[in-house]
Amino acid sequence: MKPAALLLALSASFLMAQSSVAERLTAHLQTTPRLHVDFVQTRTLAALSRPLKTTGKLVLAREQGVIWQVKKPLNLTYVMGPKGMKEVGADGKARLKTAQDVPMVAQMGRIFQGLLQGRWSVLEEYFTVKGEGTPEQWRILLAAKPQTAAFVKAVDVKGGRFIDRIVVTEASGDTMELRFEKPRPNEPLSDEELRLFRFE
Amino acid sequence: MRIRAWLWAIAMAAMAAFSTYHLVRGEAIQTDLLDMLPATERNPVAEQAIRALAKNVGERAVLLLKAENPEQSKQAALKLAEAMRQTQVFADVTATLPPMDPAQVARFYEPFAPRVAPPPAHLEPSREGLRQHLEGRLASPHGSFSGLGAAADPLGHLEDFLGRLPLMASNLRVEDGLLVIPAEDGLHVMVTAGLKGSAFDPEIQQRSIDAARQAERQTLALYPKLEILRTGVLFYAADAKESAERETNLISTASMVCIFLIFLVVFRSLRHLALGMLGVIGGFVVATAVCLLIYGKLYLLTIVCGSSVMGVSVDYTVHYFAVHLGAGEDWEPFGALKHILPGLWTGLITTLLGYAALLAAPFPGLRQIAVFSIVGLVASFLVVLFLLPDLLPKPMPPQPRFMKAQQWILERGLRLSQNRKAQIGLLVLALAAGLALLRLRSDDAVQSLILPSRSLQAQEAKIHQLTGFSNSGVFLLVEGESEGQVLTREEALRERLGTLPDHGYQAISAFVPSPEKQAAHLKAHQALVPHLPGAMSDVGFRPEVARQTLQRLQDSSARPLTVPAFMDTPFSVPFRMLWLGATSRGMASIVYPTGAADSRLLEKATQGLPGVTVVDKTRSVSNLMGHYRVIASWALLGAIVLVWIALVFVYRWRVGTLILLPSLGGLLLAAAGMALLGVPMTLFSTLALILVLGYGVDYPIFMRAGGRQDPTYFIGVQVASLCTLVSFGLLAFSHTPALQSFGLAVSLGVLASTVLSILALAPMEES
Repeated sequence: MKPAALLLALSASFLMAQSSVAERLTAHLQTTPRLHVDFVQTRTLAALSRPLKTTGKLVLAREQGVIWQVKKPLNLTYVMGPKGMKEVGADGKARLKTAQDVPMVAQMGRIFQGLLQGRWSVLEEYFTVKGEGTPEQWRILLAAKPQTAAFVKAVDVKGGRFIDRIVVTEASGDTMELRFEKPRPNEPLSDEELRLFRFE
Repeated sequence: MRIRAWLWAIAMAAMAAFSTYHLVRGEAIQTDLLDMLPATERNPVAEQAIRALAKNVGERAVLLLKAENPEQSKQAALKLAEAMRQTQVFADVTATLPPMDPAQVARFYEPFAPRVAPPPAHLEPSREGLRQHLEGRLASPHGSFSGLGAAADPLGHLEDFLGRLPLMASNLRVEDGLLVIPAEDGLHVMVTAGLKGSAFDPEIQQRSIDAARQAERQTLALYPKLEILRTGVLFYAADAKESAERETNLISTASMVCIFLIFLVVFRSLRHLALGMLGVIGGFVVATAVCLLIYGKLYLLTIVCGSSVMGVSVDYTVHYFAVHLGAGEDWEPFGALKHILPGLWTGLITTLLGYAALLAAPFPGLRQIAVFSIVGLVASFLVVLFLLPDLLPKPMPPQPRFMKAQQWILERGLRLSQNRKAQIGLLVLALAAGLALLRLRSDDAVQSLILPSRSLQAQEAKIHQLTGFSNSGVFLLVEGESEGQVLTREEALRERLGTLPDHGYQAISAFVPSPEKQAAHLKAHQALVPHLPGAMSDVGFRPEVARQTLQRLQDSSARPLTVPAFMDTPFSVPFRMLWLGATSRGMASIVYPTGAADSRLLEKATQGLPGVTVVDKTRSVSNLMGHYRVIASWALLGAIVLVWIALVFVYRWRVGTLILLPSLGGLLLAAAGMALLGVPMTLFSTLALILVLGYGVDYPIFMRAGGRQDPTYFIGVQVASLCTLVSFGLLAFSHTPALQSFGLAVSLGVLASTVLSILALAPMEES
């Protein structure tokens, strides 16, 4: 075998193994059954004269899905579950988007849950996944595959025992940064949260 | 030989050459079932839609591949596509999707954004309400993934609209450029191929199926564990043709062999056998040639059914041979013909009357069968009339022992008919048969015309389960005076369909809202204009972004979204067939269910909607078949009365009625037998009963002509009925349900009427 071909074969197998490296680095994320964490989201957009900062709370439950609760500057809750998405406005009224009505919602939900729970193999459909570091301090880089490139450019995820930070670079160059603080893995789901996870 | 014998021989040879040439080239067979069925829809546009859909669906073959693991499934799909492409038989072979810009859909709709979707329903048209909504969109977790950007779609309604577009069946996904369906048993990869014409074109069908099979073999050699699921008209049509050919070969060979044996036993002469075959083949060849000349193509059903007519066409030869057998040394070929001609004429005409009843049916397929049979029978009759006397100049060696045996059987039959116990037994049997009629059911499903391929049906069911897409043949036709009216009516229809259990529907109005809706959406957006700049600036949008938003709103007010604009986009390709465009009555479109649809449910749900027609060709044809089954039943009753009157006119009251009785017995046994076997009555078996009447009347007429002293006619009747029995009996083994019940009814009827005509001889002679 010629050296170049050998190199190619090696790097191919190296690339193939990347998502499993990433999975190994963050295996503990997937085994966490439940996590409450606060977040600060900063969107830096060309269309905005100043970055928009929102804060809130995130609930990750392995079985039920994700609750994304914005508290500032307005009250707004998004729930993503296997059946679709629910939006609860400041008025307390819920608006449902089922995966059947809105095919895109199912994909969004899959991507988002994959990101938060470290399921990189799910994301391989849309991204090339590269992982580095140790389970105590890791970094995962996702580069959009051609079919995804029109929607998003890249995602950069950093963490240790829990997820610390996500930076999404959009196709237009706009960015969104999510910082996570005060992870509480032992907090049980409140009644309100259980109710939010219910899809009728 | 006389000149007319030569002329008839030459004509037959020419027609034989003509039919052989066409049959061998394989162009003469029509496998398109739709072509055989009558126009059923009162609405001419519905027929047009049926044909357009059939053409669209008919010219694509779909294959799903699954190997041991996803990677191999993908490689196998690429390999299969390459192998199919190399045959150069297909117009196109698609495995990898052409690189499509995923943002092109968004780009197409962007200029029409205020028209395609209203602002979010809960949005309060005030500065504060708008501000909250804009902020909420920016704060949403997936705002960063929309691809549109906050500047292009600050309200997010375009993103919602795009997200709801039914662009792809929800189970299908694109992986590495391939269309895949992840399932529990593994990853299925889709390959589709377009034919270079109709799947029913014999040449294209043969070449395409051969090429597909060759490519499959090549791929299977590399991936032995590969599973391939196929669907498409190509596979069904090729399968139907092959099974029909197999059946025709089997039925015609078997009935030839049986007739061969019967001739050998009765006439013990190769010359008679050869001449008998001449009559049969002459009939077949002339019938084929005439049908080809009239129709250009033969239906599969005609060929299968036609191969059974041979058993009837041999009758005329047989009666002539029987006279030959009985004449001994006094044989005089032309005198003998003159002697039996009246009986032959009666037989021919009663049988032809039976087939003429088929001619009256409005089914192109049935009519062709009738023409085929009538021409075949007349041709066989002409073989007897023109050729046989010249070809049988010499007397036959006498067979005293055979004649004596026949005489003995005849006398036993006569004695049995005068036995009290036997008479009572017969009466009881008739009563029992009458009772059995109570169990007679009917079934008019058009599916009985089709040779079902279990394997293909199973494959299609699996594909349906995997893709969620099925081809039930049921759809909704929407008509209107203009494009706008059609779209409005589609929307009203879709609203109604939304109340039905979860079935998806494809409709153009999902991509192009009606002008009314577009205007309403635009108006709702314009109502926000006074508050929008303020709210946007509150959230932090730059002033120029707010200006652009207002500008877009203004631009789109003068630019409606139309169907032709949508039809020009590359992503509309799979949906273009839904738009029928201008018709003789205005504009029309199709709303197509993606799942299995129940036309009865749809009819109920769409009641009262203007311009909407539920089209279910299968059900319409089945209904029509049922309608004609009832008509045929009345026709049978009428025929019985007519034949009775005719017989009474010729033979007087008593004998006329006696001649009719055996065929009535035949009808009774045929119907009772079907009832007991659980075979439902169909249009075909009802028509078969009319034929039974035609055949059944012949036997007592011939029996009476011979009387108890001369077993010649008795031999003729036996051989003729045996041959009919064999050929129709074999038809009962066909896999096509319609032919099955047809063959069963005729053979049961013929059997009973033959036996009864022997029993009827004694009472007939008494008077």
